[in-house]
Amino acid sequence: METSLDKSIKDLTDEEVVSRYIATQKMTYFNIIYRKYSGKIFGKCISLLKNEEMANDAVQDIFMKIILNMSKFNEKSKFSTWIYSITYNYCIDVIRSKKKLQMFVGDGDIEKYDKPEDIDDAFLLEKSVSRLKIILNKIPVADKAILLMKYQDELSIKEISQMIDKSESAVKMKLKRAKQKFKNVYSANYKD
Amino acid sequence: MNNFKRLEQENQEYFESGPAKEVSRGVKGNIRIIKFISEIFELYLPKAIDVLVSISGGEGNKGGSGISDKSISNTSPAIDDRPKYPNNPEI
Repeated sequence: METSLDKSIKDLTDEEVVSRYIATQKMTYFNIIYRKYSGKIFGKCISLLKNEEMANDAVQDIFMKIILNMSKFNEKSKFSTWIYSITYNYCIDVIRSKKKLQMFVGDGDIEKYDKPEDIDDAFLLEKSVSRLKIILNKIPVADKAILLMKYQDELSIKEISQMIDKSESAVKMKLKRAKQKFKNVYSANYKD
Repeated sequence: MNNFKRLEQENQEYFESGPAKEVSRGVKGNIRIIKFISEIFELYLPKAIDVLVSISGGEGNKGGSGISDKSISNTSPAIDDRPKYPNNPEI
């Protein structure tokens, strides 16, 4: 049976849960955050790291980072955005440190594109889920991450710039390059 | 819902159970350890600093316990110089 206290806890926003956790250090509030986000963080880690065991380790490390830095959360962005920024940055760091950055068609030819063309969002959004999965797994993890932030988490350029600590114009350029890489890999794999 | 979101949903459904239960246990265990260490620090760090200060020759914080006899004797040596039994003639 739910008590009124349970109901009021469930009604709290993420930001309220965070401030209550900081004030009281009660595990009840941590459990709310864990239950809400562990699955989503795990999904993102699996998607980026492509290894269940590594993803489990990553979730544990990411939650420790969240706990240790929770007092630094300044509510300039949404709590979910802040959590996902830790997740993306952690996964990118793990892959880079393990030198698992996988390059793709033509051994880095695409890096030579100084002026990426303007690719319409529809080009990416109309691709089937199975093809999206294949192409996203073939592009570098940093490009994959920025595409996921934009089209999966539907973050604005400003939010992404806060997450990866770059200027908005740098984010726009990174996004453009990521779309270019996506298109090149797609064209190399599919004829339509 | 766009296909990127469907892909995320598909991933979550595939790994429906989420992270392993050991992850939750590990995180909670780590939090308990951090709490324990921070409580230890909170309790004993001021005292440890006092000990270090007194070892180095300074006066540690007495923690507001009042002025002890020792501190009186340290701060006012003139009082100690007085004879213990002033009525006894000095030999």
